[in-house]
Amino acid sequence: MSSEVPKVDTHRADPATGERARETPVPAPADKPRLSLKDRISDLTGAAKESAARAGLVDRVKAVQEAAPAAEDIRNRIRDAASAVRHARLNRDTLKAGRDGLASKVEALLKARPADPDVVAPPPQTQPITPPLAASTAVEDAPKSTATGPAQGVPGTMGRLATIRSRLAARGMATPVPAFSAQSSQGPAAVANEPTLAGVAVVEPDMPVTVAANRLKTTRIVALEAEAERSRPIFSLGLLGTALTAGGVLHVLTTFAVPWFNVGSAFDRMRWQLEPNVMRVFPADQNGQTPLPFLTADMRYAMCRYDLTTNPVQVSATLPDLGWSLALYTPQGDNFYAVPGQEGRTVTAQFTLNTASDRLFLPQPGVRRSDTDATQVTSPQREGLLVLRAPNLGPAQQALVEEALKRASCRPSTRR
Amino acid sequence: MQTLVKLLTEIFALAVRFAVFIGIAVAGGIGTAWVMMHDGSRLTTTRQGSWIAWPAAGKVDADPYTRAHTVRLGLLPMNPSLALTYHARTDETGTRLHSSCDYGINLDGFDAQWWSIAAFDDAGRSIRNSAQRYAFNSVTTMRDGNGKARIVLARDARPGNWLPTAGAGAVTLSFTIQDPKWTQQSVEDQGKPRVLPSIRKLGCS
Repeated sequence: MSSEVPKVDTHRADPATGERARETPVPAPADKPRLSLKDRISDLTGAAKESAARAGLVDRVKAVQEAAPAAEDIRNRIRDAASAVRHARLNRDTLKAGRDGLASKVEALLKARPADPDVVAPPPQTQPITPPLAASTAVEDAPKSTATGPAQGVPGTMGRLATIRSRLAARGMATPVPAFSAQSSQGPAAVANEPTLAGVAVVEPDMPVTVAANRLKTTRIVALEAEAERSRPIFSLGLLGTALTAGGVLHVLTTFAVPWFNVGSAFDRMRWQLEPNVMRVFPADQNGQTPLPFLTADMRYAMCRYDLTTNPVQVSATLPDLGWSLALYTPQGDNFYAVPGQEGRTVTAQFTLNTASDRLFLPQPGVRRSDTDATQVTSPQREGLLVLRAPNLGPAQQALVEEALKRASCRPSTRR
Repeated sequence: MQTLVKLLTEIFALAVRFAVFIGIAVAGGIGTAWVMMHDGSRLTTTRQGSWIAWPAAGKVDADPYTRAHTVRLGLLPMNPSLALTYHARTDETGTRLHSSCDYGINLDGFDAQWWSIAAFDDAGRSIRNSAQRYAFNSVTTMRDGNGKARIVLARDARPGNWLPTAGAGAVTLSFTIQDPKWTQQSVEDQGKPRVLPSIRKLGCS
């Protein structure tokens, strides 16, 4: 029978006092059989295990071993969170750079787009501005990095945008709201229904910064151009200027075309009523009708449509009194020659009507020419009208006026 | 569907822009040209009271508006150095002359050698009347003992120098002055023509 040997853990502290137990000398095994070293070690090991089991170290070790994967998971999560924060910062920088580009683009468009005072300015839009990168900093949703709305805390950019908005409002244009978004391909399309300048740029977390910035900038430019197209008035100032210029050209063309085409002129109206180079005396119409508009009915008229194509024309008329006149007109109504009647004396108008080329070749034999003793009048054109006016002084003078008108002649000159 | 709506919207906007463009070009171009040819401007006409003259009408070097005015109306104006023709479409108050009203034209102090006043309808035709009176001139106008003359435009007969206007509607008066000295002074003094007869409304019926 073996006596019970007290087992003292010399390495453990007393849980109650916290003091190490005093080392108690093991009594000499005088009355017990000496154990072998192996048995002794085995006993000690068993005692140690029993002691450890009592202290719960095994469970603790097992717990530690079981907790190791969780710790690794925590470390991974921390790494992901750090990565998300890093990408979010990159997105913030690219947003800021893109917004600066947007401001420059808007300013360029404003410069290229003149003001239209007739357009009523719409009420300024109040768009709630979300804090920058608020969603992207969420650690748990790190892969879904989404940035929405114009960035606050960027005074320079916001100041420029505010200036642009005020200028747009002053010019009566709709105020664009630069509500751009950047989101990852895994994130929701949060800004699909954003008004006006809303755009969505897909930015991958691992995308290089320059590519992401270019994508954001391209998205903003496209959205801005679309907004500019939508807010453009239906008739821009440039088109108005073009229309006015076209109107001016049309004005000039019309003004010059009317005399050029000669439609409705006196010559055009009388062309088919008058034989060429023959004087025609118009009768005194009892109804006051005159051959042309605004010819007074208290005058008698004799007309000749001269044609200098083949021969010069000899003209002869007598103007017995004041109020009589003889006038030569071009087809456009230019009065290039006139003889007025004089009071108390008779004026005789006798001349040869020819063209400048007729006068040039006059000395040459065989060429048409006229009596060189006669006065020569040069017509600027080969055709025209000769009008002899005589005042209608009533029935008593009618026969004299009629006779004087019939004496007037307009005939081609003979060749010599 | 959305693409079709967008395409139709674009086509509609383009059509509206084209219509507005053509409207501005045509109305602004031909319309202003018509006004300049028909009514003239201070650059091309001389005005005194109701009377308007185109002082360059009949001249070989006339401006394009004057030439277009002459051609479009089918006029044969004499050279302004010999004769000048004025037209009046309103009375001295600026009211359009109309055959429903009576007007008096006072020729007091008018001293040109030879002149003629005629009444036309809006198209330049003489106003038909049974009295066969279409115009008065310096020879046919009756004057009182002081040499003063007055011409009355009215639908019904009036004593003295009566020009019938019944049935004409809008009336246009033509006043031709054939006096080289008188017209020369008027043309050289553009903007300050010599005194012309006034057209005063006597009443309307």
